[in-house]
Amino acid sequence: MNRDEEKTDDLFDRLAGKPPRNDAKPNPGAEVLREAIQAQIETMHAAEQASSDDLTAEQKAQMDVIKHQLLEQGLIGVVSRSATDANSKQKTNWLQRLQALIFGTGWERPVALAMSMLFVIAIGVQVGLPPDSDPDFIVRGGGGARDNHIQSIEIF
Amino acid sequence: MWGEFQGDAGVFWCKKPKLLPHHWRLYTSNGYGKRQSTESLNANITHGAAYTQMDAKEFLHKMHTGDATVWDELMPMLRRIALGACHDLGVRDELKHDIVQDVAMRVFTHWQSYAAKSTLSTWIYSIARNRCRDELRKRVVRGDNRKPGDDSDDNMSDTVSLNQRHDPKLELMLCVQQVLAELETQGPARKNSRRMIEVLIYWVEHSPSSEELANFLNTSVQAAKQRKYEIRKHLEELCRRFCGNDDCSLQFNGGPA
Repeated sequence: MNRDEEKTDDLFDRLAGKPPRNDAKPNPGAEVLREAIQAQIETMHAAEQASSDDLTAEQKAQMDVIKHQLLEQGLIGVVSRSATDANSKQKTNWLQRLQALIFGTGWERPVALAMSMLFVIAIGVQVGLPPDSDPDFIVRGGGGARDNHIQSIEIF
Repeated sequence: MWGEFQGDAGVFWCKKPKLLPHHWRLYTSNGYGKRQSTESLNANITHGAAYTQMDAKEFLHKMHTGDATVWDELMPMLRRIALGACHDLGVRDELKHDIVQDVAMRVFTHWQSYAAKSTLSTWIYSIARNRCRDELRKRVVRGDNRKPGDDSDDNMSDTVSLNQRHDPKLELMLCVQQVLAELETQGPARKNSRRMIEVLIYWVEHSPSSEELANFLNTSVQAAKQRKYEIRKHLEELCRRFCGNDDCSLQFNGGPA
């Protein structure tokens, strides 16, 4: 085992609360680090169990004071502007999402590519179509086409 | 979201208060993780009382829609975290109520910066830690953390080092908390990898074997060892930055603490 591995194992042993393997020097920093992380874990577990039923009347009153301050300052109980903006953003974001899918690596990529190709073709076909002609000049049936053309010349 | 369940082998906490799959990791009340069949527990979960706390999605939804009941649901957890974080940092006095108020203000002022990358309780803890750290720093700078016996030194010569009048434990706590706060701000090194702080918390909580750590990191034993090495090097760097020493042990009077 090289020196780096020894140092790593020594630190992690101390963090796990195990005694160091060799006669290593005391390391108060690692001890405090371990205690701090342990304290955090215990606090988080305790917080997950917290309930308002555990509070005394005085503590509840203190919390109510904070609630009223938050309400007065409009920090809670107010619809977020970002929430209303989100709806309009959603409409414009579809293009970004499509872009992400096309340049992504997931299974959606070929589907996104096919969809965008279809989209482009549909627009191309729409743009490439001739403008609507006057219904009077629309020729129906191949046989009469020539006569109709002649008629229109005669009129003009 | 965590639930507490009374099982045959003690009190358990597990994520999400619903029936558990067999591979689910359970946490016993003494903080050590155990893999255990969940068949017997499922019955208790079905019938037992489960404490459920608000999760990130629900919190953000309520904030976006202006639902004021967000306070009533979040308050017990927020209060416990704010008080607990200060206790963890050694700030234990009449300022507690002010600190709960400050943490609440910060949570509801900066909630839009919460991206739900960590759990709601972890995010609140980091806010509370920063608030309590500010308080601790003030005390260290003012010299409020002198040892009780130091009062007799009021007529001490000015030439005495400032450090001699300070409680080294609190200063050590301050720099270690700065290291942890910095780690908390850092994301994963690679996509889908665990953050360093998560690995450290898991390590301290479970004291895992190499195989268990590899399993937690979803990688090989060799890669897990490499990760440990990277974490140590990074910790040394942070300890140097905040404590002036590779191993986070402060130096007083020119010698090791």
